[in-house]
Amino acid sequence: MSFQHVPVATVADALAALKRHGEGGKVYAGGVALSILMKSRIFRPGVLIDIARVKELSFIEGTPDGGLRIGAATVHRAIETSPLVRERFPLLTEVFHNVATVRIRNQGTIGGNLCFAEPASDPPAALLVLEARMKARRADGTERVIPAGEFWTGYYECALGPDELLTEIAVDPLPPGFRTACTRFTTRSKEDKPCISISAAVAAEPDGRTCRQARIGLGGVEAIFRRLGAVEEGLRGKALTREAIDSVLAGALGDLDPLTDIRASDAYRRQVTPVFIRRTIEKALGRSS
Amino acid sequence: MAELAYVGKSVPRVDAPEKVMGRAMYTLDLLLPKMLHGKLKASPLPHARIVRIDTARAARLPGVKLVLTGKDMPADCVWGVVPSCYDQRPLCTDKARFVGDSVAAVVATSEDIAQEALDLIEVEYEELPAVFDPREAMRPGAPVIHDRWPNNIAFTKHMEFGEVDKMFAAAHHVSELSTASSRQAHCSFETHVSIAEWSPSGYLTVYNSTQCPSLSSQYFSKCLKIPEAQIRVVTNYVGGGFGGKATSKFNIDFLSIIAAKKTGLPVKFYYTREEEFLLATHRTKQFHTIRIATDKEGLLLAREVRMVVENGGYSDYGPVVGGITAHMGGSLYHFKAYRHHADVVYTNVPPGGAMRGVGNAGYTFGTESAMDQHAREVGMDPAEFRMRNLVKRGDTTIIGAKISSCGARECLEEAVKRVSWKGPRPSRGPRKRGLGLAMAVHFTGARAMGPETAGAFIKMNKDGTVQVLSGTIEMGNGSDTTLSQICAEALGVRVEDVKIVNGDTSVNPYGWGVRGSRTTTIDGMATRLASLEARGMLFKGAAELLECDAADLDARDGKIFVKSSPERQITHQQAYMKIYDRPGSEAVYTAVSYDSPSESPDPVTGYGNWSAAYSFGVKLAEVEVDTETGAVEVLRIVSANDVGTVVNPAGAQGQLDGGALMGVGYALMEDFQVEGGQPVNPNWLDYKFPTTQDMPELEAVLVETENPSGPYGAKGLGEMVQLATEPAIANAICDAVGVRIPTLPITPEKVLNALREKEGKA
Repeated sequence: MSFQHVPVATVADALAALKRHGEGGKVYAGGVALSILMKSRIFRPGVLIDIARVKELSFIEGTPDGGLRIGAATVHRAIETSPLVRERFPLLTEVFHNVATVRIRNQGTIGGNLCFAEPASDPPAALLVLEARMKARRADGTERVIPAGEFWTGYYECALGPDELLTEIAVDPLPPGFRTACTRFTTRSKEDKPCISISAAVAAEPDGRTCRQARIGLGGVEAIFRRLGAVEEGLRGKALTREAIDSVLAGALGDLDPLTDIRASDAYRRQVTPVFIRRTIEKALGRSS
Repeated sequence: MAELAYVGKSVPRVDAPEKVMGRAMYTLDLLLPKMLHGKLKASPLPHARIVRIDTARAARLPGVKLVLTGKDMPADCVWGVVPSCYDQRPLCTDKARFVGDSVAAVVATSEDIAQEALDLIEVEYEELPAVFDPREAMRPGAPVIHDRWPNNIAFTKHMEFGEVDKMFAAAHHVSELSTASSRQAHCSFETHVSIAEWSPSGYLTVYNSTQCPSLSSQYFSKCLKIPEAQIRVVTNYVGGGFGGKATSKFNIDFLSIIAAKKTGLPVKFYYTREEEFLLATHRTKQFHTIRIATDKEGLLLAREVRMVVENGGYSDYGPVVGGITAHMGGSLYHFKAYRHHADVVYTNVPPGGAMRGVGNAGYTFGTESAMDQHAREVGMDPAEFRMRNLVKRGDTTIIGAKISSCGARECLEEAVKRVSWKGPRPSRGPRKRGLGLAMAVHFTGARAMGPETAGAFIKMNKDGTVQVLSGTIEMGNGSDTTLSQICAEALGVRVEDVKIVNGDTSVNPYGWGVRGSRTTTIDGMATRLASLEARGMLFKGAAELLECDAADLDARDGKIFVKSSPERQITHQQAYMKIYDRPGSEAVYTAVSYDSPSESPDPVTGYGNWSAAYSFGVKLAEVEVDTETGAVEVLRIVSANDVGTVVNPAGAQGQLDGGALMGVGYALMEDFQVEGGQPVNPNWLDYKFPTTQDMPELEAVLVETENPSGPYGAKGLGEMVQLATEPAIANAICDAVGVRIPTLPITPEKVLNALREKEGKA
């Protein structure tokens, strides 16, 4: 297989290359996903624009308000092991620790993961719950901010245009009172991709028992990552007991549209998704089940 | 027995330094000057007549040296494992019988060019009706896969002893269970590879990654009519075999040999990971219906197993599975009557083959699930039920197995002791715990394809060191180390004075291959005998030097000494020079051919002691079942095994741990899936095997017995260590939550569905 490998050193060069090569150009960072597709000849690139060495895309920075900015070409392992991330968003530390294996976490990048948009993946559900903002740039210098909730548009599809480059993922601090957790369920080896990946942020009323607000991000189950709005609405004002949560889930997941794949059938995912949502909420609240 | 110098010691592996440093040479690494690269064109259809193949465009691509189709293959190049079932050819001649079946091959100056040329080959197919389930394939009217076998049944094995129907009629209790196993893939790190090179004078060298270099040479000779003396098969370290490289998948060997002859240059073919799934076989998928009859005391009266083995598109080890299971099924417990009926049936899926415990693993999943179910139905403790029925040393079993050493009872006692077998089962909310056990027996080299022989040549050097020329290979199993220990023990030299020289058929004795749990025992026995002969020669010189009788001498750790006064000692070098450096000089070379004391089974009834030794084992699993999700976590596996005298405890431990983990994979997650003939997961992203993260707590118990026919009492180990893991897990799940999952793999989905069904009934 022959293709052109174009290593770039700056975002400007990457954008120029994207513009120059149009649809034939593909951004290549860690190569974790693309190299597999290339080896299996599913994907035959014309030009690979290699951003692995673009320093300005690899960073983790705190913002004065307690948020974070993460460069799109930052490897999973850097996020997983960052003390700053651990201090501000322990959810991200746990989620990035869950990604594949340490070898892949040393190679794969957050931007690559998000743009590849493979449904069986852990970070998106957490970034949905944190209401992250994805910053993308075009060669003409324009920049746009895509809210996480609008970033994933289809099965292996994201909102980026062919000439756009994801540069940064930004998260603001959660409002006070939120507690977070994530759950990753595999049906085969623990090193498998997730069958179900759920992140939750829950805030209780001052009584400690009633749900003030909940955010639930769903991954692995459907073709597109999303927040479970009906569940979040249903939980508001409800007691955070096992029975009450189950009762909400029983009524609010009617629109669930699970995938069937090698890991499980749609029927199975439909049955156990509520179990893992409830467990994630309980985990966030510091209970185990 | 006095304490031995090396046998029974955890001697560090002799191949460790080069492997740890990444310098071990595997055949896949090998590149020869001017070597060409071959690639295979795969059928996209599960069953199709080849109407036309146009190779012209491919042949014109610059860099392409040769394009081969079935027409270019010698007509007699047909082979298999069981001679009555020979049906394999290097390339399809008339039709393709599974997706991935090779219809053409390209040889080019680079892999990329060969790959590109594959796309230029045009194949016109006439798609034929296909059949994917062996139980459907054996029904009248099913599509015929090979004209020679019009009912698709490649092989039938029926073995029956005693009055089976009468026993069932008179039984106190009869149980029945139907089970199915899955296609576990070997997933060796190194895929199959073959590099062939011809000398101008017609001497053929084939570098291949095989467990059986001698068998390779024999097949190449027979199928291509090349005298065996003109063939040299060289096998470097093999990057994992697990039976996958003991099969008869010689396709790429024949292609590299033929292509090298035609081009006059070395040619390399290897399987990609996907091809390894499609072409290099997997554990045969098997369907069993098991009926068990017992009397009032819980003694076994009869067992009947009817099984259907999925053969796939061609016969590899499928037919062997039908027979092996018949023998193993009749070698663990006492029965008054016994019936085994196996049909091995063609289907349009990739062929099944041999894998660690060939056939016996899936069979034992079935029979030991059935034994557990039977015990529960009659209200007997499953351990006690087995204990009452186990064979013991000195027994001749219903199929004719002569049990010359047996620690089965001790294994069972030891395993149960290590858990709270009769205690309460703790639970954590929805997560319920359970304990389950299962037992198995496995052979040490089976006389299924001729005498189970081994050879060893000893070449002693004048400095007192020794080379053992052995018909084995090292595939990670550790046999270079155990054979070194055995030679050092017998000859009285140090382990570091021994070098095992193997993997070259031009210098090594014939070897049946590293398969069938035989290497340390049978090749080890040949090594021991050849070493003892060499020792006898040295003792002659030593007796003269030490002025004593040779019978009064012993040797250990590089010293030959007088038994009664060990301070009177000399070195092996001194003894050697004494007999060498004089008129009538003798050099210390010995050659031994050893046949293990087993019998060929009766050709009609199957009765006979077809293995020289039987290894026994128990697996006891503790699991936690999540009743809300069906997920099963294996918390712990106690593995108690009677594998004779343990030659290298650290090596045995490695085998035990790896075997148990492979069992966890087979039990819970591994399944090469084929849907409508199309492979679903022929890669390591979609096919998952356990990793260190899935490792349960493992406790290995070695019950040592002495196998009279093994070197220092050793017997087979490599396959026994996986066997019975799967039914132990299934039985533990049943113990925890009361549902029996009779099909592998036991996925969370199957468990949850069974739990819901049980709730529905309640």
